[in-house]
Amino acid sequence: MTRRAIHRRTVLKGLGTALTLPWLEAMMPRKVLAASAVAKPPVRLGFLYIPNGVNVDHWYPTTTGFNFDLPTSLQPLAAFKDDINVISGLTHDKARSNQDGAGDHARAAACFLTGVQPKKSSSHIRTGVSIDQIAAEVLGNETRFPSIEIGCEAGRLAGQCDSEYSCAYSANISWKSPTTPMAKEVDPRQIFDRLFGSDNPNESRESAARRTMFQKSVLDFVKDDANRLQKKLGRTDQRKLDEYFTGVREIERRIELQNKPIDVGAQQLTRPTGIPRDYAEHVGLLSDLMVLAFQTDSTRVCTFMYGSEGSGRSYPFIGIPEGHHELSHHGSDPAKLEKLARIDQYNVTLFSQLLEKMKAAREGESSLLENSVIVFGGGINDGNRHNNENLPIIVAGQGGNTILTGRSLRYEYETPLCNLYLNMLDRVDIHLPRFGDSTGRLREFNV
Amino acid sequence: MHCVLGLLLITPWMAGDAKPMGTVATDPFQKQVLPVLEQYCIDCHSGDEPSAGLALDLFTSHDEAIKAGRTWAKVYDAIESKTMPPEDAEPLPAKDYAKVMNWIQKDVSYFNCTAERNPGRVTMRRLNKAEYNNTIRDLFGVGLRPADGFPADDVGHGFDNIGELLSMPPLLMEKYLEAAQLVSGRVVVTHEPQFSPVRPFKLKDFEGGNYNSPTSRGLYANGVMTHSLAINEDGEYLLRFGAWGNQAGKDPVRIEIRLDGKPVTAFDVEAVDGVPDEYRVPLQLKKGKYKLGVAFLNDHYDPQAPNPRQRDRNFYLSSAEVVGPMMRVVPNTLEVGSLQGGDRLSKQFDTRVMRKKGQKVVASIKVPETGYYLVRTRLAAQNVGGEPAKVDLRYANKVIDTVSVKADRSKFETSQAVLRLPAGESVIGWELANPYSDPKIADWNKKQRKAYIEGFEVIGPVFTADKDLPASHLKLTKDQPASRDAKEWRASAEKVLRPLLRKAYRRPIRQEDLDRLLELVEFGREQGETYDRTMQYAVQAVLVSPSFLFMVEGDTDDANHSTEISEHELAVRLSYFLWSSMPDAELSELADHGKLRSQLSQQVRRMLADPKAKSLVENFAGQWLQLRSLKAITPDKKVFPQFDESLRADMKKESEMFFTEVVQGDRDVLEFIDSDYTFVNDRLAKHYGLGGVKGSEFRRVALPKDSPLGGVLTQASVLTLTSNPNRTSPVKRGKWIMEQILGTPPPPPPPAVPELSEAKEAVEAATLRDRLAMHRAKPECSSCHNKMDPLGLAFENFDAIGQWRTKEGKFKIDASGTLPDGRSFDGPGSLKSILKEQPKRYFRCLSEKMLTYALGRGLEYYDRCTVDGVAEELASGDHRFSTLVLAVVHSDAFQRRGSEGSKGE
Repeated sequence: MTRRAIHRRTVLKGLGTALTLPWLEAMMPRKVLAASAVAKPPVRLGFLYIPNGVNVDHWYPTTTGFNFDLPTSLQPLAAFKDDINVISGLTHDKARSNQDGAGDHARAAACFLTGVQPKKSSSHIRTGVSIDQIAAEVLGNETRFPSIEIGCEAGRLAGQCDSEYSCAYSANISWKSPTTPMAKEVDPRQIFDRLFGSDNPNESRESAARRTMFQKSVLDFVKDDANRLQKKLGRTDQRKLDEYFTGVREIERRIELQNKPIDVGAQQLTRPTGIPRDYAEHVGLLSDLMVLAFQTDSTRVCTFMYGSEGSGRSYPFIGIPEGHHELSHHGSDPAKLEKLARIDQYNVTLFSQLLEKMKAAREGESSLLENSVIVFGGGINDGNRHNNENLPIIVAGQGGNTILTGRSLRYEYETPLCNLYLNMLDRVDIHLPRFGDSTGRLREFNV
Repeated sequence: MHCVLGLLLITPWMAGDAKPMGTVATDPFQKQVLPVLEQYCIDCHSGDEPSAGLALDLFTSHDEAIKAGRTWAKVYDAIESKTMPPEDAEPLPAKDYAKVMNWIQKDVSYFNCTAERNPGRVTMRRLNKAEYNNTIRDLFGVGLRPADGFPADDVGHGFDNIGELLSMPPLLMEKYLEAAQLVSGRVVVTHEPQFSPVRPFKLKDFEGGNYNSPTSRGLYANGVMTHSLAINEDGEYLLRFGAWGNQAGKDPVRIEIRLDGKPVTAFDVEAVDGVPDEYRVPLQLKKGKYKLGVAFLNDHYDPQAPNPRQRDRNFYLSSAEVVGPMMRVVPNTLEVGSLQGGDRLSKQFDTRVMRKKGQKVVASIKVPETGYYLVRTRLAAQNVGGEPAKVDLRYANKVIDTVSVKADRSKFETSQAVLRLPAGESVIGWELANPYSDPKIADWNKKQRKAYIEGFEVIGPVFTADKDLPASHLKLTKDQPASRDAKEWRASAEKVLRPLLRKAYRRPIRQEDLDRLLELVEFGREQGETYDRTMQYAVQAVLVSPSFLFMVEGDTDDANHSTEISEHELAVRLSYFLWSSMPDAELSELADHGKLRSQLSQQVRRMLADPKAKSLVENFAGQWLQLRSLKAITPDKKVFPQFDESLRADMKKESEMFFTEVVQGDRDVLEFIDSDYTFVNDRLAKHYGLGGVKGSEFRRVALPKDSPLGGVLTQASVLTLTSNPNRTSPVKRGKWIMEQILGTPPPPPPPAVPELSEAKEAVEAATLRDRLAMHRAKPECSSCHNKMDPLGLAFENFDAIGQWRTKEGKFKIDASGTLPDGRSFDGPGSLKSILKEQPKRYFRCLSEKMLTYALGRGLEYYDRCTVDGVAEELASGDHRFSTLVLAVVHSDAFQRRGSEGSKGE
């Protein structure tokens, strides 16, 4: 039942446009506010994905260290230069063919947060648990949602995705288990409802308790059914049932956390009406929801795919009617390269709007951006060559004052991207000895 | 493909201690096959990076080699299709060809179709989105589409019903729970106290007992507390009260609810000492005046009890209220548009202000079905003058409801009205009925009477009369128990839930399944819920249980051999294949009696003729022909200003109607390639240049003999979805034919291959055809493009949105070409004839696609004989669609399930 309170349905005027959210501090859960008074606000992790590689000529700074030059495609980040690190040189070796033949797009996305070579199969999918899910496993205990997964493109509508790889690989970067991709939500309205929608002021405390009680007994019922079923199943089918049990447990956990969305107070947010046709508006709404989810401490981990890997989105609104993927095979054609740079710059502009919102969101003495680590990038360097070294990676936010930003960092070629992830998880006190094909931590990354 | 020469040719038989080749003549692999491979293949297919990922240097003996069934399947296909050896390499002489092919056919078991076949194992499939929606439709007879909001199902092997890929992330589990609540609230419509007026009673106003405080009134001995109750309207009410007891003695406090002294129900109050529980008693009341009584039945006093708290049993009431009359409401909040009109309070808020005559605030609402809906508006007012602001709710030029608004802006209040709305979109409005300006107040901002609207919501539908309730409701709640007696409830519930469970689980149910569900109902009864509400919970539980969400198939105990699936499992496979939904009563009954297998062919025919077979169009054709992608195609507006949403819809409609005709008319499947009819309306006819079609409704038209149209290849849908936004793509069209019609997908292009130049000079200098030819001249491109491009170029007379043309810019279109096998053609008609002349590949391709879809799993090398069997069946006779379906349904892969041990990947 989608029950919603009007008085709590709360309005974010201009949801979807660049805006500051000064009043949102009032909606912050007391937990976070109190925490910010005495201790530090929690660190949030975000992973944003852009498909098809970039125009490499306009992406990488020519200098390193502070006061680096912002290349054309990154110009929109000028106002946030002090809040980001532009990183070059990182590699995903496991996104390479490594004898698996074609299918670079599928591999690039599947490997991006897992660091694992995906199994080449149209149906028997297998890669690794992604870094966001490892973080969610720990950080998720504190929040209503261990993580959220959002994006602008739902799965493929028909046909093949990439070579003999299942479409699951190119459409997901978050993997709960090596065989379970975390499906993403694309409809802002549904995300809104999920985050803020289940509270009803007409309902008395007793009725709410009653509803919860019956929800629990419904779950008890289905677990019994699943248990009976389990005894009859073979190995592979058991795995499907395991996914089922995990889902049930997650809902139970949320019920234990009283199933109460954050009281966003008397402020009002407008419930988005659906999927906007306009790409920028879509990214904008999803960015707003990501910010809100962080601000209200509904979750601390978010993955966000601007597009599925290999996306053929056209950008007619900036004069590019051709599909992105097709253009990315530019064959050094200057006209195509120029268009690619414009697409890159456009996506970076959308990213900068997210940073603007995060910077404007105050958390006590600091901003949400200061308390976050946001990776923005992709698993392919040059769309024409499909190469996986020197990946385009920007890391924004200071991770709770533990990351020195404002720099261009260049690492030796072949330094695994997974090394960065180790550094990132250190920021949230998860100290992994290794991850994917990591060889150690990035130097000079931390404060 | 790239051939990496000179890489690692250190194969075992070449190592120092290997015997010379001639001496190992007893091993058929070493004797017949290896020398051929060595001469023609191993240069490229060996080492660390074998071409196409296919290494042929790994086998030394026959016994070892035959285990690699998958490898030989690839070799067989590549050689048979003449893809290998590549053009620039030494061709394979017929003698050597025969040696390899014979060995594979004879000795690799998956090629030996007389042996026992491995039917494969379908990983337990969950319902995908389409199947979920259809199953809900058929289970309850309601038109909800709850799965539309579920995350997209992942696609593999070209379809979204592949069991292995249908994973269940936690998000989906959440969606299932929500959907179950939504569906249960729609199929059983309960009284919803949350939308009904509440009348609280003051404890002070009761008679009898001792008044202690506003939250405590006690009875210390058997007795009764009463309160008057005036009911103005017949209907369903709910008495809700808080109570607790001093619990002494072995029994809890027992109380009785009375109306005019007559007992209604009695129950135990187990809450203790100052911590009240909520208790609720549903009451059906007629208009009139009543005396409501709460009686304490079992006083207990034992001054000797050692624990002083255990000596005296007393009863306390902490609150009491009557809710009602209650409406039956589907508690579903619908989508509404934002408020328009009036003055906006501020930029930040959506709140609207009304202060002048005729100043309306309006909003649109969209409802799924005609019926009554609750419109709840959040209102506040700036009240000046003698009376409060009055706000009219208006719909269709009528005032539906007028509300006096007393609340000021610090605290908005909700007003509620019931409104009958037609399905679809409507506009409702609000207006201040009594504008007023107080001359005594100087501040212009404060002198006006104003009404504020903060927002509104629409909930429902609402059922004001029981006779209007949906059929599902009447069916699920028809056996109302006469009292709250546990046995009676169980008996009533069982009558309804047994058949529901049978249908929902799609198999005979076990007593334990039913018992467990009845326990849930019993729990609801104990908790004081209405019978209808407990039915709602039961429906929810069923819809979230794995037996509903998954298509479960039992396993055999025999680890080495496959087994025939049960009749019920067969019914499920059939119905999800042909209907994307659950089996109907006839299939279930036949399965119950073990008669489905014996009537299989006639059942398949019945199912294909059923309207539900439309799902084959939506789901099979939508993915095979990739019609689903059409909605994501965005032709360049500058090049094709005539392309709009209606044309897009028309294109899709033509293909869907065409496919439906082949299915339901049981036509020759070669009509997919070419036909002498199609379906158009006036718009599409104009698009194609067909004359004599008037009106927007679609109809079947016979095509002129010389028409290039006919079949799916020349339908605007397929031609558009295989084009670029601004021009045709012979490569994409050729690739599409190879993938979807011939079943020989070309390998993906190697990276770093330049695409065609789209620069203005290039486009003006030569036709696309010539530019492609230049591209093709490069050796790394030619082996694949020699196959793809000619196929696509045959359709160059159709532009990127499927319109006929004779020129491309200033150049005349040349649609002629030669296939790699030497056959030449000129234009779409002759290419279609070529495809039809030798339809073997097409039959095989269609068989593969249909098997994949029917089984819900990717095909494996061991399915070769099954595919061959289906394709041969289809090739014989008149290639009717039903022949294909029947061959699939009768195949081992469909009828049997492999053992756990036999599972291949």
